Amino acid sequence: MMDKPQVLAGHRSARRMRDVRIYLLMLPSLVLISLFFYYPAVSGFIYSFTRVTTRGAVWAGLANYQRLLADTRLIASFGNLAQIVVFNVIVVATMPLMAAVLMFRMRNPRAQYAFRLMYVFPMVVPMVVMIIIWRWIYSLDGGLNILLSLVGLESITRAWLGDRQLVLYAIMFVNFPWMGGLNFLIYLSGLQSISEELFDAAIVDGVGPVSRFFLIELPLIRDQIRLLVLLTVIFWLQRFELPLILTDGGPGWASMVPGLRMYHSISRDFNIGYGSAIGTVLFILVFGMTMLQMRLGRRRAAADNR
Amino acid sequence: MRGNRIRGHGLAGYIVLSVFAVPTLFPIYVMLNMAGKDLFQYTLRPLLPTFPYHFENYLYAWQFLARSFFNNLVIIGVSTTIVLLLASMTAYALARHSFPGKRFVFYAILCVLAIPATVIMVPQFMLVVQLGVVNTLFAVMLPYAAHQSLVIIVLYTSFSQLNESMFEAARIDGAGHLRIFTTIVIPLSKPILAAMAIFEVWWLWNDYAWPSLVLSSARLRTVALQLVTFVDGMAIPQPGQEMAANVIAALPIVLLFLFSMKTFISGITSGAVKL
Repeated sequence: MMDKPQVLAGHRSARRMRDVRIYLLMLPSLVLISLFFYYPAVSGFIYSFTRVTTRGAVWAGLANYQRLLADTRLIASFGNLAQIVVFNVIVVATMPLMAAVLMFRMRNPRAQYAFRLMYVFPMVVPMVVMIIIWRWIYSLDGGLNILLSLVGLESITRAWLGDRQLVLYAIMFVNFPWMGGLNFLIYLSGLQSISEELFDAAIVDGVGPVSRFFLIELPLIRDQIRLLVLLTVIFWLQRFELPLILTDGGPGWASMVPGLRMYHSISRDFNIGYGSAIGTVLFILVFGMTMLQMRLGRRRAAADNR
Repeated sequence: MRGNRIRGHGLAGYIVLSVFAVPTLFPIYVMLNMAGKDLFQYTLRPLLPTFPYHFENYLYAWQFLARSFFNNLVIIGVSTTIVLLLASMTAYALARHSFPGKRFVFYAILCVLAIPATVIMVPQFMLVVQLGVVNTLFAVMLPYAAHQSLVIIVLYTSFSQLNESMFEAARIDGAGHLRIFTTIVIPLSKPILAAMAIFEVWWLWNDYAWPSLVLSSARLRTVALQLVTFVDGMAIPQPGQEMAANVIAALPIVLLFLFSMKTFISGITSGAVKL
């Protein structure tokens, strides 16, 4: 399509001009992307081998990584992260799926619409707002303790975010029952794309509601489950707003996660080298998961084309 | 709806979904209910509704938030505009032309999706320090504006599906890139551009960690930062006013959702899946 010379005589130069303009169209994007993504990806890796002072970076070899391996509190924060990730993976594969299946099977379109609206709504409220509300729910005179007192459980009321043993569970429990929002929407759209003939055939064969789930719905949205599990892992590996706003990693280090420790390397101790080393470890973990997701995505696309 | 003609009337589904809707919506109830309480009502009955509902809490909260709303407007307005403009230019070049190095450019943009934005936070912070923009709105806007590979990929897919005959006709008429871009590509892609704009606004409105690192002056705070300081920075806690501030902070996105539900959902799902 490039070979459409308007002026035959100036064909060559006109074509080259057009080529240059195409590169100019992409230039601003490419400059911004290189500067703010590719450059930091490389410089962060280099910083992780240095000690950054006010006068510049000094080569420090593997010192940051040695410190990282010897930092028991950081290792413990990876343990916290692992618990949070495993918990959320289990949750994302069950709760929103249940909501989507139940909603998908509703006969009354209006009721379905109303329920869909209710379950989408938590996604619309900004995350920071949700976290602040949950912080109140967990506070000493907050919602959870009030509800517990109502049912006669005053004995177990406490400042939930101040309890070393429980704070991690409190963080996992945020957004209970974990059904609403994006995950549920992805499941629902997956279910809605199942061919209706399958369900008709199932009716003819006398398939009941439970077998319908295991024979038709579950196998056909396996891709969505896999996608959401991977997205959940990637999300929690790098997101730390929840512990940051709720507890700032405390009490002590009880709810620390590596991402938050990395954030503190700037906001608290200004230890760029160490923060970059943590970032590099997280980077490798997230990168691996993303590659896995992209490969599964491509395989799925290939399967769709067949 | 399809798939509904199975036996059994699904009563169990209604019950389960209704029961779980209560805790799902509980935080929103807490927020709206508490936003109308004065200190006395809050102390006496924090959870149950009380009368009168103190709307003046919103007035106080708004005074506290107004400046940060303006900052959000600037940050999100500028970065969303830049992202949409530059991303659609790049997507147009990639989708409608062939040129040497095209594959390389495409994969260079695609691979950015595998670089986790939060995890390169430390070197990005050093970069904005070196650029000398730390503690200015540029420190927030520049990385936001650069975060466009996702939008490029989505627009690329959409632009590729446009019918080539229109481009052919325009080129025969002697139309340049600019005219093709403004008279064919943009008008035909309004829905997807709107979806991407909503995705950007939703996502940027949600962001907390990055602005909290690079903005230290109180007058530069974004809404999310101001909300968190509202609680942390008050001598006498006024929970009602605090929650009123939360309601106000949630309102722009809620309105966006209510007025463009379909586009909103398609924008967020197509964006977040690749985030």
